[in-house]
Amino acid sequence: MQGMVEMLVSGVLLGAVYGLGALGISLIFGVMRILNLAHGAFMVAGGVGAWVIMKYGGYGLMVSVPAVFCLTFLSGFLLCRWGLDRSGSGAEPVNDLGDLSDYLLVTLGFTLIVDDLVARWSSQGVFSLPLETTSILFFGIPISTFKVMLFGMVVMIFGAFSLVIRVTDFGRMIRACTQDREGAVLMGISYRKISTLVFAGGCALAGLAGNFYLMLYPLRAQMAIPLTIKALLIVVLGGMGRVFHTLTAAMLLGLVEVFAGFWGSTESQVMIPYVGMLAVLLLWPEGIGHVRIRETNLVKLRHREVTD
Amino acid sequence: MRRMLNIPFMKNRVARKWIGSVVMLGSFAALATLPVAASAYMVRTLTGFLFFLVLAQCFNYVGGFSGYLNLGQGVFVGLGAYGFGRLLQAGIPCWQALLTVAVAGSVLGLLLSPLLFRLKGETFALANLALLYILLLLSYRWRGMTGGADGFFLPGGGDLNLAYYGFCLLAAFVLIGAIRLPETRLGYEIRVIGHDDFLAESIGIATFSVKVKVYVFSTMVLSVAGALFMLAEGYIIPSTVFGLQVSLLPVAMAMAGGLGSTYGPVLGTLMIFGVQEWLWVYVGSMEQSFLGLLLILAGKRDSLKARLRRGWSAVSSPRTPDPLAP
Repeated sequence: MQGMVEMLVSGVLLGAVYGLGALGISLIFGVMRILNLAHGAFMVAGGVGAWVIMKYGGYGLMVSVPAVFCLTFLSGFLLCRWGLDRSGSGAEPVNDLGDLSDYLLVTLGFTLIVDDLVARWSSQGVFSLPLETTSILFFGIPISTFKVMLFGMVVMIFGAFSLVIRVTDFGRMIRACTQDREGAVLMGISYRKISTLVFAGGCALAGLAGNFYLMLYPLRAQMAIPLTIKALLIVVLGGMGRVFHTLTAAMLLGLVEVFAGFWGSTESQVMIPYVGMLAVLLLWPEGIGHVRIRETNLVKLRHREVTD
Repeated sequence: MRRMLNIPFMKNRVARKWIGSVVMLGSFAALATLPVAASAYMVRTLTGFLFFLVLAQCFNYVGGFSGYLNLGQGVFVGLGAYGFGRLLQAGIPCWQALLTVAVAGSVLGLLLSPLLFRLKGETFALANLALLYILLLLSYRWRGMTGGADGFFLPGGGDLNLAYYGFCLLAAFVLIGAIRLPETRLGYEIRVIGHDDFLAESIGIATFSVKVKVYVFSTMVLSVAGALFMLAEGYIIPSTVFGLQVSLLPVAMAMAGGLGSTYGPVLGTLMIFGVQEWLWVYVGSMEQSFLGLLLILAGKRDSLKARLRRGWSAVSSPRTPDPLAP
């Protein structure tokens, strides 16, 4: 019973951390219509950055969270401006493929580089922090206070983002760009600015997720692509633009993963995101929530080309 | 190249094609005499080159013409390699095993294509990537079949020269296909699909069957390439065939040379393979970072081209940026 509750807690917490990453992907997809394959790389980079801050700097979460947020925000900003921004090139994409392949390759390439550097830097290929925490008794079952605190932090970040998107002007601009890019631009919103900020913000969320992941499990090299796939899976499962659906799907994935690790083997645990991804894509090829929006947008773009 | 095309008889399309064929036949003849004349290192390097050439060309068939990015080409390479190895182990002669692998690869491609071609764009690429990872993990786990992390030894070791000749033939086959395809009906149809799927369907192209034809051709070639790779190496572990190098390096190669063109992948393979060989000899093991850098450069090729043409600063500060560009 006690082990069960512990696993339940870890699963929900792991899911919440994945959900933080997925939230970033879903924001970015909403505004820019691209799947950020570099998301896992930002999670790993955030985790490693936090590891450095905590291990060598001796600071706690209160320092590492803002620091990691700023660092990943900055690197996401640079990746977006140098890697994904096409406005300076003057080159028109020949077709949808032109755009599509470009960002897929740039983000994938970025992932591979981060992965390789991380693998090269760590001698054993593992980053972990030894944590000693106290527990509180909940109906006679000890639950680590640290985990409760972490969960609270993740939920607070979720809430804060949800609030920003709902009530601030910046959030309204993001929603406008998500709903109709052309319309938003015609209303005087700078799409370029919004998309860059959203991309950087999404990457910063991924960095935070990496930081929290490090507090729960050791981070390894070669983890970037699996983490990306997990975040994408959550987005596909939970649908886009609905924060709490994302959180629910993420917790489901976290629970499945923790229980698969317990009842099955490590290998089956590793397989879950890929099999889940393939199954979801093959069963619902049009996507449960997000790809449909892309379709309507494409139809709109085509319509514009025809009327021009 | 452009100056060469200004010579009067080079303007003639038929003459150009003939000259192209003669040059290619000549180079293949030169390649065929190589194992007699050159060192084993040379043969091994060229085998690797031809392997990637075939893979890049295959990516070009599906990704370049029809616009479906197959990021998991290693799936069929690996299945071909392991299937071929098991067949040889069972005592089946080499050419029969190759034939079986080719047939099995196309049948598997045929079975997979109705599922995969329900997807489009990035979801197609993602599904292929997921499939690749599943096979990578499975092949590590299923020790009885693949030898797991200990690797799979070909009984009697590999036969480099035979594999080399096989790759020469396969590369010739694929190249002739790439030259012929754009002029055939299928080639026109597939390029329309690549340009606009809706448009292709609305002018009466049976888009699904066209895509399946090209995809099945590519899976057949890929599995044969995997089998020949097995023959050349004599020993593989799962990550050599199901790893990202085999799947993504050809993508960068095809992109670098020019996606959707006939000779682009050849040029791209020449460039990238050359640089990589140099890197292996002089720098050491930075393959993955190098691969990442290549992918980024391949993805940024349009803006790089524009920068080369117009100068750096003229491009980086556009006077009237497109407000809709991402």
